Amino acid sequence: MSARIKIVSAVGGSLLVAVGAFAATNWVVGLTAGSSAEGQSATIANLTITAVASPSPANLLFPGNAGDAVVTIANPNPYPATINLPTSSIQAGGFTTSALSTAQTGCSTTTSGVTWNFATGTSGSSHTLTTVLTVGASGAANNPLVVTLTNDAIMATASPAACANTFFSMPSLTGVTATGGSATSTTSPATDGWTS
Amino acid sequence: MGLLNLLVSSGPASGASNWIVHVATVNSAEVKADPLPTTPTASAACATPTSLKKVTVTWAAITHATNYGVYQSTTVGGTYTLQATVATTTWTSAALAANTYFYEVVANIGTNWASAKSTATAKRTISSTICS
Repeated sequence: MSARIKIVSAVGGSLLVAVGAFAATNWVVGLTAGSSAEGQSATIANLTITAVASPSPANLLFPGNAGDAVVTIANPNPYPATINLPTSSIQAGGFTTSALSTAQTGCSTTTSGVTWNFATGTSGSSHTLTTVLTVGASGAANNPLVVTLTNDAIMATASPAACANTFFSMPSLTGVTATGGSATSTTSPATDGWTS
Repeated sequence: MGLLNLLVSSGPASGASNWIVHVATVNSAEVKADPLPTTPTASAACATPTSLKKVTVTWAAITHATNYGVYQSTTVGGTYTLQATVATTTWTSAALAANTYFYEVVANIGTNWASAKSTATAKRTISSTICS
């Protein structure tokens, strides 16, 4: 394909493809009717980020302090992906168990006071990880990658007593940037985080 | 796949790409909170000299406690009123009138997390002249 830029619409948004000397050129994405793209060998799929119960976080939350968040990142693509983790200041909801299935009464997304640490707004704020995280390619080692984000969740001083001994589902990490390539994958489980 | 906005640009021949993907997850990470603070065990002693008719209440530090509330009553099981909130693990009363005094201590974390009141009620008696 010649060097040119095509702007196409993706489902619910847009897709910008800038193509240069590139072997894998066929990008398969969910597109709205009437849009188009070219390519073949690579299918771009979203990373999947989910909460996990193990390993258990070592540093637990309490009012006015930060605690660890544990996350699993799966990469369905055929090459490693290096990521960052933008966050938001939306409050996390509380649950009675690590299964995150039964809501904790009195500790909701409007009252918990639990947010990502250093988040600057509800629409997402970007942070630089202390160590670069690279998730292995699909089927390779270290995929999914389990990461403990040290002290990257925080509980407000005024968090209600109902939030004690509670498990939290942190707000989704929206707008994740992933860079594909041949980087060495991070060994799972890993410890990482951001400090500002 | 293909949810929301997706930015793709070409990279080197290895297949490197830059993506911005909206990850469709219900939750993204799990965090756990501590339980409420444990209940302090308090004891009371007469401040010296006993002629001051003051009572000093002490207790062991509770993990993560921000401060402690000291409550006083003149009857067991009666109404305890907050005397002071302190960040330390000891508190001394003002000079007291003749009576028997009971004390309970509560450990607080932040604004709303509080332990149960100490179960070991500390008792001191003040006469017209000394604390005993």
